[in-house]
Amino acid sequence: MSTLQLGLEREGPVVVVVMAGQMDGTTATLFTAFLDEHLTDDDRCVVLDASNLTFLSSAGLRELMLLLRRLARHQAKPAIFGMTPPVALSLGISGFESLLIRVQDRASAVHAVTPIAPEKPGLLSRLFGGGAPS
Amino acid sequence: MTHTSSRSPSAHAPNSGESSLRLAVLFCGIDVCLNSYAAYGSNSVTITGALFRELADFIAMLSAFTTVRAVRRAPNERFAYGVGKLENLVSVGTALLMAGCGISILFQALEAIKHPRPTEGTLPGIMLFAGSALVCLWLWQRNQRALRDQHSAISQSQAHIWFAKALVDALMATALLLALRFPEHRWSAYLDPVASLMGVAFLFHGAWAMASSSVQDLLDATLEETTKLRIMRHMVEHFADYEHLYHIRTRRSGPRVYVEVFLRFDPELRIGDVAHTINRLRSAIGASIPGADVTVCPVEPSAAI
Repeated sequence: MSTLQLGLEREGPVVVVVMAGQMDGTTATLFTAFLDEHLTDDDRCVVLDASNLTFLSSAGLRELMLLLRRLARHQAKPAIFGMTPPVALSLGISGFESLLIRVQDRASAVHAVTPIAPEKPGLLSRLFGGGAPS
Repeated sequence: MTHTSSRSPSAHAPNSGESSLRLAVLFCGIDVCLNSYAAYGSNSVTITGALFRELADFIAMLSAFTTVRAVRRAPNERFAYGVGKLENLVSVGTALLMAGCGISILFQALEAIKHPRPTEGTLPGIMLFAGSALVCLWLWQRNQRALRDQHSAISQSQAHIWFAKALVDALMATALLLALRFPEHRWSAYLDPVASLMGVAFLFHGAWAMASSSVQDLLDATLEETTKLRIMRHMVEHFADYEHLYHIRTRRSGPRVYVEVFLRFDPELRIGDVAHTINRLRSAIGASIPGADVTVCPVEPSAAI
């Protein structure tokens, strides 16, 4: 019997979804139910921690697609890190890699999805209402 | 809900696969007669084993040919649907027969190894094996061409059989030729039973390959995970063309593969645009899974799957 454990951690605006176990036909719907319960409509920076995810089936990918749709509404993509070989294989064959930001570790993943804050305009910009005088 | 599906036309005229089978039945029939003659005049286990194999093959080909004709026959009020599974039932029966023949030859070969004796009267058998190897290679190539035209479980299993037969026959001919050429050496007495063991191995392998794929088809099993991932790839490639993927349902029924994809589209899209996307998806999935009957179902947002 396959099991899927899910956890959620927040780092500022970034939500890290920690997945462990197998995401297959019997457990995949837990993923969407978990996200529905814990994510708000404003959450657009999502990181998937797949370090302990040992299997990802086509049913799991379908649930992942629901998350992609959710984020696509905000023109955002989730980042994923720590993929085990079976998970990397599933993502590779299905072409899902193109829809995700693949990174090496958690820090890079958080950085990849964190929105870049617009630069604060300097005093001169504020005074002259646009570009600084040359 | 609107259903749009692609299905290859069910022809009621003989196709290239059927003509290949007809030729195979004829060839196997002749081969059985010639092998009977060769086995009658020889004490070789290899040749006796070959006769068993030819008999099994002949029955397999005859059953396959009869089945394909039954499947092709236009449906009538008594027997309209479901005959496609006959292909798989026949394959399972053939596999059992091949396994039975294999066991019989195995016992004969072990007996001959325990009590080795020089083989006699093998020349007709050697000529037969050599000729048979050449003909099998030709038939294998012919089957490969038929498979490219139309995918079928039977044609595929026949292609495997022909290739294996060509290889086994060539090995048998070589072993018997060596035994005939060097009768004074003690090792030559073992060539005949050892060669027949190789034949047994090929027979078991063929039986296993035939039975395993056919049983899975008979069970209406869902597609294997790798194929489902390939279907998902098409869904990823068309990610922007639909709003929501509800469900992908797959199953096998006899030689056919069924794929049903349930999608929600933007309600503002024109029906022509939706139909265009459906056609592209269907063609893409159909091209990546030979023999697949692909259905793409647009689902209304309120409908639950």
